[in-house]
Amino acid sequence: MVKRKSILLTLLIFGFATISFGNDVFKGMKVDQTLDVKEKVYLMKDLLAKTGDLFATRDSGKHEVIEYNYQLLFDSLNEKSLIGLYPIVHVAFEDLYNQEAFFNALSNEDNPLAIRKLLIENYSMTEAYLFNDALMLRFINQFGQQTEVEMMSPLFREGKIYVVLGVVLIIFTVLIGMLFRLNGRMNQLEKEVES
Amino acid sequence: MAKNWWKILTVITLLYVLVVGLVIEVPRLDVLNETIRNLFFHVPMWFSMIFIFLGGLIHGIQYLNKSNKNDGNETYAKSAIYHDHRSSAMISTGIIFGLCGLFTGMFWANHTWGTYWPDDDPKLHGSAISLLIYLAYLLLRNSIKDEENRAKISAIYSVFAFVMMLVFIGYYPRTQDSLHPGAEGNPGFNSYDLNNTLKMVFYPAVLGWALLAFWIASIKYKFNKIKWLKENQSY
Repeated sequence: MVKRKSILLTLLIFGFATISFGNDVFKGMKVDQTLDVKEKVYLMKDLLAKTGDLFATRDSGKHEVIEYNYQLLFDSLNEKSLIGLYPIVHVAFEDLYNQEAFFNALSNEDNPLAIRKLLIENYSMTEAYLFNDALMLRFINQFGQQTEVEMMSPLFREGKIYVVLGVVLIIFTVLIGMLFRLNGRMNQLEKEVES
Repeated sequence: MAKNWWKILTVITLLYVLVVGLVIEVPRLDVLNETIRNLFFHVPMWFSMIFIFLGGLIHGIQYLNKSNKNDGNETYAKSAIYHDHRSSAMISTGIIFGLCGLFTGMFWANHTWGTYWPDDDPKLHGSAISLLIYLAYLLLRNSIKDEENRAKISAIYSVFAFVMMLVFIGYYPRTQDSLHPGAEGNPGFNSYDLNNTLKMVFYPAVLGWALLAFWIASIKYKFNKIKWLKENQSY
């Protein structure tokens, strides 16, 4: 009985200690801080290199426009979260590959239908500069959204989450207590039956 | 107490997951918002289910191996049947965790995708089919009265069920267009969409829920064992 009480007490103390720890240490942590500057720079360089490779074979004028716009993009990336940006980068790269497919299909003289199919699928991106502008707009739009995402539900804003957490911890403590009790009872029965 | 260290670890890990998982600052992403915290509950449920089903499969194979080599030795037979009890306990527990994974996913889907069950997501269908296959395991097992046949057929079925589960939730959804991560056109869990803040809770969550699954399975196994020993006093 004493043992069970001490376990429950330990669990409760640990629960409260973890609440304070979580509150002080983790609550102020921002996503931006999860990647250090070095990692961000490497990731940006990687993105730039990939883009450069992709467009290196194109005519230099379009390549320069894209590089310039990407430079603008990377300049504006300061203080922004790359993690949050990833989905949009992913979509952008998909578009880039579509564009690659577009140029490949255009030069495919054996299959005239290939370009027709791609034109239908990507009708809005038949010109590189249109695509490039669209890409920039999409990034800018994403930045706008990034700063305006309202995360704090009333539950968090009014601190009611701690009430929810308290209830969850009580339920968890009861369930774990039952599990320990059941475990002890099964061990006892096992010994009795085996002997 | 020395034998129970992993149970203490389970409790500590799950307490950490519950507390930190609910109060930690999470990435501010559109649509997902606070529901991203479901990552600490929904995904580890599936991981735990897979681990415990794998345990069930291993014990099933061990039963087949031991029962084939048995030449009438009572201790050996007893050891073999214990493997069957372990396998059965693990699979029953895995089904519970699978259902928890399904329900946590359904509630999350309703908030983010607007429906409890999107019609065209292969991962949902795959997970439902996998669970039905494992539910059929329970039906099959309970329908056979002879102990040896029951254990043997259950062990063989558990191999089939595990392979089918891997196909339905691991392979098939990746070949189709899906709303879930890792499918065609969607990035899987990687350094981009699982950032360090989430990893701090996600990995302990996988460990904690998996340990809880093994703990529940161990209690179920002991219950099966005690019941069997009482029914077979000759051993």
